[in-house]
Amino acid sequence: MEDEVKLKPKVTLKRKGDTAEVATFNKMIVTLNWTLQDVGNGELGPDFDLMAYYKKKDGGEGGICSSGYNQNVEDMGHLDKFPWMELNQDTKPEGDSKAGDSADEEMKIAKLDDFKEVYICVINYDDAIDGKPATFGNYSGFVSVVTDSESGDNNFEVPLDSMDQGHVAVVCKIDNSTGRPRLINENRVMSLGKFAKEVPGSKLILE
Amino acid sequence: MAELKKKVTLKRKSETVTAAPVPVKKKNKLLIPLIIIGLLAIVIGGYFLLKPSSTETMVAVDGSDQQATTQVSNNNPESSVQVSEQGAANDQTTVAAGTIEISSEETEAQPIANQANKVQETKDNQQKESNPSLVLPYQKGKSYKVYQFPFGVADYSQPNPELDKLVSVLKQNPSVKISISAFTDNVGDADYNQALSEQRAKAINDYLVRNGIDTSRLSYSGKGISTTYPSKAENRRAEFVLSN
Repeated sequence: MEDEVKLKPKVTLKRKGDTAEVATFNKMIVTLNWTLQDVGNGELGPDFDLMAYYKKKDGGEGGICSSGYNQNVEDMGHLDKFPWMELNQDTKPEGDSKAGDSADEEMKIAKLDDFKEVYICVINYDDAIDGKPATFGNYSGFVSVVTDSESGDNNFEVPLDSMDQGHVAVVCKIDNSTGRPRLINENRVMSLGKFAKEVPGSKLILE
Repeated sequence: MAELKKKVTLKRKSETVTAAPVPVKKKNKLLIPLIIIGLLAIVIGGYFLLKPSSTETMVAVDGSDQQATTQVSNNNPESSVQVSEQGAANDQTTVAAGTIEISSEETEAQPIANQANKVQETKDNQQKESNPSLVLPYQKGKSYKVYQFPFGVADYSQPNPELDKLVSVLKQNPSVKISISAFTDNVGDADYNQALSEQRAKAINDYLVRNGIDTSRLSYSGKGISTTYPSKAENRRAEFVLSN
């Protein structure tokens, strides 16, 4: 965290459906971490993209994702105005990265007031665009959710360990339908078609 | 009868735009403009502080006792040199910035015009030495990536701050020459990628030329497949090195 916030013991939502209450916060940082591997032809991968999609309380849908899909920087969101969430830049492994190195992407969320639910998703971009079979469970991946809350738990982790095949993983959901946000382990891995059907706002990256 | 659903496909990313960093800390949003304004103030202030208001030179003509006074006014963008010769007060030589137009008899005025050129050169050199905007932000021998191409694309198609910065630097430093190299990822055969990389290098070269950079200062070549970076997108790039 940028400001000095003492993180409390980490709460790991190990299984699908595990839920934790998210105490009031001023800033939330969601980080996707994974380990790079040799994915053939001497290349490192996978190229995971962290994304968030939401359904608003008024029924509206949307999301934030890499600006590369639509060549629109606005797609990465804003922290100081709607959608109150902002994606860090699309991370690429550095030129001197090697297999076993860790990679991460990060987003920040300032508030959830407008949203009924927020889906934290990951896409395996290279395999999706190439139409190759893909899984998410082989890369020691996890999503950490950290807030600056001092009144409740502020340090969560959701493993990205599903071995199901698919190009998109809905890792976790923040359910704010009651006004008291809860973080839920989703770990649903799906095809692009299912992603389009089941995740609100997903058309942002689909044709 | 069952109807096939429309196939859902993923939009293809172009990483070019993603290079634009998203400000995270509010203070950074103010800090960067303040730094830019500060640097601009230093550049402009330094330029006007060190710029001589006028230069006056006594020039001997033909080694005789005739003298001419060469006065270069820097207050006007079109610097003029007015030459008056003792005993030939009606002759006047006018020198415009960069070019010399001699309104008096050329044979007599030539040495003075040459001297005026020297004065202009000295002024230019002083300006180059004193103007911090002419300090190169690039190091010799180092490659700078200026553009990433979308998959299979050879044209320069999207705005890119690094490329615009390069144009600006080249305009401020007219003596600088660069060598452009372009690459492809490793999808497809070598011949195709070699040709694609050459088209990419030419596209960047052409963009610079369109933006006012003389072709004599540019060279370009396609380097074919690159696996320098782990990501295909990063390998689909153009970069440059200072070549002088």
